[in-house]
Amino acid sequence: MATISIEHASKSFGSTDVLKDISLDVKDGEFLVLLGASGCGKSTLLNIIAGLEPIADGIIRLDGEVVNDVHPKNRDIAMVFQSYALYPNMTVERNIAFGLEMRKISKAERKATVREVASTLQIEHLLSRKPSQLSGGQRQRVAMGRALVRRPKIFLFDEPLSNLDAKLRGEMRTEIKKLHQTLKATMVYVTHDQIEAMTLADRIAIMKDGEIQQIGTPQEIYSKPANMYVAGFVGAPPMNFVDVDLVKREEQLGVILPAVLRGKPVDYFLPLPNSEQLHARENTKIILGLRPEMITHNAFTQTVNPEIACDVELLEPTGADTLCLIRLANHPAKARISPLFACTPGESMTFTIDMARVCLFDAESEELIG
Amino acid sequence: MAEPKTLPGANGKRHLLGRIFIWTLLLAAAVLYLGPIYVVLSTSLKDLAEIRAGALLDLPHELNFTAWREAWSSACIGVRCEGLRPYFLNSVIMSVPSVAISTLIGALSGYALSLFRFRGANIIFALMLFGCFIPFQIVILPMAQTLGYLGIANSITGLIVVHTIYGISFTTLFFRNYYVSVPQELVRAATMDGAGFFRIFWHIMLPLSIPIIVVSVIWQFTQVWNEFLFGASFTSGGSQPVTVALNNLINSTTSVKQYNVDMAAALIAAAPTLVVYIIAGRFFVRGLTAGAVKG
Amino acid sequence: MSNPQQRKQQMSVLDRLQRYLPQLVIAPPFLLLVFFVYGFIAWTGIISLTNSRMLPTFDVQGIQQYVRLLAMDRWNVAFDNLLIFGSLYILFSITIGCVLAVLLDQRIRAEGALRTIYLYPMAISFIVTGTAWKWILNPSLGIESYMQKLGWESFQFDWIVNRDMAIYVVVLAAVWQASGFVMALFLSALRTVDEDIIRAAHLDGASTTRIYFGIILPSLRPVFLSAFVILAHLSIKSFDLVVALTNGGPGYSSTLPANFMYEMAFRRNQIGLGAASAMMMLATVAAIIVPYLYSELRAKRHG
Repeated sequence: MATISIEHASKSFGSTDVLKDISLDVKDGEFLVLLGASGCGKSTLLNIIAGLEPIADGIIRLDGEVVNDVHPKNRDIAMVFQSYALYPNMTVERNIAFGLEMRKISKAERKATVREVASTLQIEHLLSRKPSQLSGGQRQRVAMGRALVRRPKIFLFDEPLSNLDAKLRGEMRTEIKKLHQTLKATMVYVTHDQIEAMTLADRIAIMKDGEIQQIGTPQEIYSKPANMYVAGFVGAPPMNFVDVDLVKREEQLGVILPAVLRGKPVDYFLPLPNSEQLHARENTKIILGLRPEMITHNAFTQTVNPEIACDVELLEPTGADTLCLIRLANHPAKARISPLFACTPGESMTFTIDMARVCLFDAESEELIG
Repeated sequence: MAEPKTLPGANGKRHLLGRIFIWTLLLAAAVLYLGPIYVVLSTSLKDLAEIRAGALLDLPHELNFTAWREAWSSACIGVRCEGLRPYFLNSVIMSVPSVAISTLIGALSGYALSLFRFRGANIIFALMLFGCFIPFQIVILPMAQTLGYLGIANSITGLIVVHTIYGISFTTLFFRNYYVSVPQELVRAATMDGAGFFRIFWHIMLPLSIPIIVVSVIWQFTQVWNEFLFGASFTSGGSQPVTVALNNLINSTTSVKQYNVDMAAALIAAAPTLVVYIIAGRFFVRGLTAGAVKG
Repeated sequence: MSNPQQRKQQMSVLDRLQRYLPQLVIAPPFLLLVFFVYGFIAWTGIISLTNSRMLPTFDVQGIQQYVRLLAMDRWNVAFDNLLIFGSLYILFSITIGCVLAVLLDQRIRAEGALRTIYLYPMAISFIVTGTAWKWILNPSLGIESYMQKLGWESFQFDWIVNRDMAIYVVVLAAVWQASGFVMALFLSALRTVDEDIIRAAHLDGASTTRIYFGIILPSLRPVFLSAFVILAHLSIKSFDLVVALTNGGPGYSSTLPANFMYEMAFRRNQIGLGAASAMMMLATVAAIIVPYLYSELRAKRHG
């Protein structure tokens, strides 16, 4: 068992509040990712769980026990750091064994445990080297080894892959996921990379300015973002936001989408399902959130989705898909189509809008409607 | 910097003239810097007759080491005619402990100040740093009295105490600026591994600190060895350090001026720091610039 | 391990101690310096307000020692000397050091050897430097008589025994000693200049000279400042060099405030006056150092 429970944690450095009344529960064996831009407080939150920084207010429990005043070394937590923080003067073997050494574990036992961990991570051949003689990926593995060797109940990762090149990052991501599946340990992982977050997490907590914006499974976060910040942060290219009027036409509630066709402005009416919440907002401005893949070519002759025709300003082929730059409500927006359907820039093209998946946001509070 | 010659189309002739100009200036400067030591060395190897003949810049006719022998073991300083040797030993006895102790204290306090940024650490550092710059005239009067109270006036022990205390500012500065560049994550990782303040210092920081220890030791040694004011103010007679003894030798008016002995004595007094400089010049430069270039 | 609860309690006492260890470790050296620097400054300050002569007394009388000091010709000569010495010392050391650094930065093959030669005077004590230059410059057997014997009958270089010129001899020896240090400062800073900027300037058609004067040297402003501050405070502290070179003479024409202080405190039983002069020296240093340290440490905190 290893659960983490944070209740109303606050922390400030000088006059800036780094964490504002954070409450968070991590289940046993869960992989939780703290995602956010730099300076959002995610690393501070991690350090607080580790015990490396004290909190001003609030309670932290590990397995139900309050640990606010427990020293990091007694929390049974291991941490992997962004810079790996390998001890430069020690060999890889001693680096991995240092935590055991500090805990007065016998030399023979240390040696055996280190061998075992090294073989899991395939770094046995590096044991006698110094960190300076290792490549970035190798250092990363040693840092993992140092965490693994103590068999802690909780693992913390502070942007562990951000110093690796793209290819290695992908490989290590897979390995961390495998590791989680084998160990079934509780893991908290800090990153600013949404792909890492989406691929690794059981649940993601998105943070901004010391507050958690949303906690949920990757799928929830992606399809039902709690607000425009979350919607814009997750997904690449980001969600298109369009200011639209919510109106009723022939008893049908819908939004007016201004587009450009052959250089001339044109308005499309997109019907929305009738709901209480929307009725209340009739004749107001709301924000329509469209992910690029919700604006796409029509692969079928028949579709229930509304169609819009508009000018394509630019094409960005990415291989699997092609992104079309179009103009909605006078702002650039991106649509994602199959390369097979791509037109040439400057021409106009017909797109279908996947109305079942669009997100609507309140223009004032920027929160999701519905 | 990028060498203009390697750029295609550069004017070769102008470039050559430029090189000649640069080399002329550099070599002329080298002659000027080496001049004094050449004169001192050649004078120390001449006999008095040759010196009185006035050929300052000429090489000695023959290598004559009697002046060196006299300066080391029989020249009269004050009433004692034992040469520089006892004072040289005084300086050795004075330097070794004060260098070692102040370096150790500086290492610990630099470590505490840089890697554990507790409240007020910056103010403490600034206050300690100011100690590097004070003119020591401001402390010699109270210090003379304090040494008297402690019963270590006119003793080498007294000088050790003084040099240790006023060395702490510098050694703290060195180590603090060095440790500031050590990533904080290293301390965090070691804390997670279960190491405390002293174990992190001993197992992780000290092994990383060899270069700055060398810098600190060389700097402190040079400072303490070359120091004059404290030696002249707090000691007399047999407990004086070598700089004070040298000055007394040069300025003694009792006998005929023996310039060759004076010069040999000057070289003997300068030898330890010169040797250190020649062996470990790189670290010496780092010590000099450590306080000036932002850490 | 039989009683885990108790064990945890014990740990937490030790851990709490651990948390304050940095402060505990810094406290002794810090308190030492507070006493031996700031306490002693206060002590000297108090003595400067008394009539202390041979022995220090703590009977505060007022500022008459300062009044006496400012009226003394000997002090005024010393302070004027400090202004002359300080400004020339800083000016020449920085100019020569900077020129040597730029010349050495031109991919000179023997750079290591030349650097060693320029810098070695810094490893030597002022006493030895003074002794060497005193010998070279003495009029009867030194460089003057050597030149005259070579046939240059009218050659004259007797500054060391000339009332009006003796202080310039101190400048000469001090610049010889410190310019190599300034060179080292500049050279290490030149090595950190971004090569891309220089490449970009070459592409823009700038000549090497233009690059140095237009781009590189202006970017070294912090180094100029550091060099200035270090040399300025060294010049105020200068004591041993004068002792060994001219011993303040002829008369007291080449004394500096540091020598004045020593003379009063240790030779003439004028401890109160000596303390007052020491306070003046400290004030001069503080006027340069305090703003410098303040801006340095502030910049660091924000950076």
